[in-house]
Amino acid sequence: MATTTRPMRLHPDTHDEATQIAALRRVQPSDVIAEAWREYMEKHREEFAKDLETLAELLRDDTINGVAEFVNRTNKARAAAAVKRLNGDGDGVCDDTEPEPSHA
Amino acid sequence: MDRPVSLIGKTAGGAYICEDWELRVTARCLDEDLNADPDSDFDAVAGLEIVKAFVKDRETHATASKEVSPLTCGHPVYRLAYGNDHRGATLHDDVDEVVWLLAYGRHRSGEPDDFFPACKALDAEGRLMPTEQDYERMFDERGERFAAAVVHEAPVILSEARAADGEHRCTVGGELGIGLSIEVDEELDATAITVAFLVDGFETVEQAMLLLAALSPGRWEMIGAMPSRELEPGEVAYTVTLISGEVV
Repeated sequence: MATTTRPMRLHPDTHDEATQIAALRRVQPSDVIAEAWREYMEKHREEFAKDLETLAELLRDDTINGVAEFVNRTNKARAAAAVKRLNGDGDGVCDDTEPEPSHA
Repeated sequence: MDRPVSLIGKTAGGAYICEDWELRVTARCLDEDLNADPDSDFDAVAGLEIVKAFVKDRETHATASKEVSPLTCGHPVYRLAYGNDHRGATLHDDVDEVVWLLAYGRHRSGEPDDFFPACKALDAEGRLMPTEQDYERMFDERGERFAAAVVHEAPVILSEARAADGEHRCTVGGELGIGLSIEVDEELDATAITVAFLVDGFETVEQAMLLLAALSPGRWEMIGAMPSRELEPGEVAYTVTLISGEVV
């Protein structure tokens, strides 16, 4: 696929690390990111399936607000990470693996 | 059903959408500098001269040659000017692809309300930069736009893919590239839908999940290749099988 021109939305440090790993392994940085995705999905296989069921139900019920709420469930953490990054505190990487129950 | 028109060059909620980033005004700037409601949509302030200058100058160039300095925030904050004395301060966040209007005021050298000392005071107080609430609103609006686009476009994409000879390549929400292949085994009355996308095209895992769920309910499984080709660098692929139109 080469139809998207959007740059990676990664913290610059994460991007640099991916680039360095890719150079060492003689692959492209995007391959490293895709591999991380696959590993993440393998580790969270059951959660992924459950989330897909939840989304399918929301779509069946035609509740666009519910769908949007699901898609936005990690935004509080992402916003905190963005501000942390701007303030130069820590790596600014969003830990969104534990979404808030109220948003799930 | 047609695809929605592109939002580029238009306002959406608190944003003005550009090709590679969006323009936004911080809640503090809306409230204290522009005398608007801090939750205002972009449209509500789009008629103000400084906001017109913001759109004109930052729609194609996210930065400028002159900075507001010295500041302690550690990021380049760029000057925005309109007329003799209207001044603004903007920040380009290239990770989250947004240009913020952080502050606005009049430049009156030597006067107590001169823009530049006021801007430096905001910086010193830690009130110049966008807040978590500013970012959360932006992410929420992006998620809502993405959800609306996917829900609206998924049936169109499926219909186009069914009519296509081989893999159908298209965009979702005007920018996210995907490849979609639909194979039908009439003898078994089975349909396999396979989709490939670049993982870095999504802002969150949830957005990728929504795309899959909107294309078809069922248990999507990650696979290592598209039916007619290997995956390209950075690409992942998922497939789901339906028998007689029902999830298996």
